[in-house]
Amino acid sequence: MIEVPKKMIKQQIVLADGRYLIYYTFAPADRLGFSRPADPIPDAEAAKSAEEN
Amino acid sequence: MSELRWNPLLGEWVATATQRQDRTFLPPDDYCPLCPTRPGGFPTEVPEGDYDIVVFENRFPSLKSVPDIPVVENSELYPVQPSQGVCEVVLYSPNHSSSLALEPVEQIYKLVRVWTDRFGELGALDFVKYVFIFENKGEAIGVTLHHPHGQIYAYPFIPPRIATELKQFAHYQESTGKCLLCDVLAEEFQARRRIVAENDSFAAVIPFFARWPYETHIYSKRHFQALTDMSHTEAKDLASILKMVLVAFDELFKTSFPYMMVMHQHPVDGLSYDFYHFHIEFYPPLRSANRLKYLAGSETGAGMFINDTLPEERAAELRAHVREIVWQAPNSQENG
Repeated sequence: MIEVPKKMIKQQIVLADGRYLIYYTFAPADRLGFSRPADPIPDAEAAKSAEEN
Repeated sequence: MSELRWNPLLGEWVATATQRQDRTFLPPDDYCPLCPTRPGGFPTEVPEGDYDIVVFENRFPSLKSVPDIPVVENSELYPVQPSQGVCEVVLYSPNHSSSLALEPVEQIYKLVRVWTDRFGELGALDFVKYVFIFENKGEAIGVTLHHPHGQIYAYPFIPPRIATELKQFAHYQESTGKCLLCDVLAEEFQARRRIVAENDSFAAVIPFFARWPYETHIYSKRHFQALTDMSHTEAKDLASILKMVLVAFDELFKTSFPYMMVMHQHPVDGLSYDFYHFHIEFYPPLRSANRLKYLAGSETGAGMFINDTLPEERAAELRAHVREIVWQAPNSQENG
């Protein structure tokens, strides 16, 4: 059986030439060990589903 | 240097992007610029390897958020514009040898979530009118890097193929009061011969009017216009049907199936496109295990495709390779 990944974590950095790069990770949230806390993106749809249930 | 040049014959923009001539071309597997940088190794595009999905600005873009100044002068006959936009690369996995078909469906679901996020973020930029999510897979399509990845172009205009579709959808809505793709889907469900796979939210079809032998479209069963309109369940079902189609493609000729995958959503120019209908289209270039369909004179010069096969037969062939995807029961998913 397949589990649904939940919270999405988005960590944006700036590369040496000025371009952006975004790491997307899903729970567990602390996998990357970022130097600053990553900003969780509100999971509106998951929240909506939870409300519906 | 890059710029947009107007083609007055067809009424569409062409991008020049001369810097792309120098882009990395089919590097050896141990020198992949899209693999995570290894300790002591050469620096790649991705400093860290512990991620699910990575998105970054293309190093060789045809559109830039701060565009170059055009090198040629504007004229009444030949309008020229800065090529303002965004070109992103989306890495599906840190694993160089993977592909979207080989990734587990949970990973494809994560990709759907990331696509949704990018559509929302790029679509909010004031100079962006259309966000185009796509993947070119396989050397037959002309890919220059094998690491599993897709791309996103954020255009400063509605591209011509999309504009044609929008016109057709709008005309159908005006003349019938109905959605064109909802009616196409109803017709396909009635015939059933061209349906390849389906789940609660989506159907995969080789369309009646397929231009490529294995051209496959994924249509949402519910009428909506973009990824950002999807429910949680629909996002999951989209991942499932993508996995079903991709696995069937690979199984067909026991090979990593080449294709172009494109996502058609509403423009982001602030206007209403309620008449439009979200869908994904796959254009695989293979017409048999070792033969390619080429875009030759009629296709390229006249715009009329010649399909050497029958969609009904190819759909049956592909359908035989579809495997069902089983997720956890709804309660354990939503509350986990």
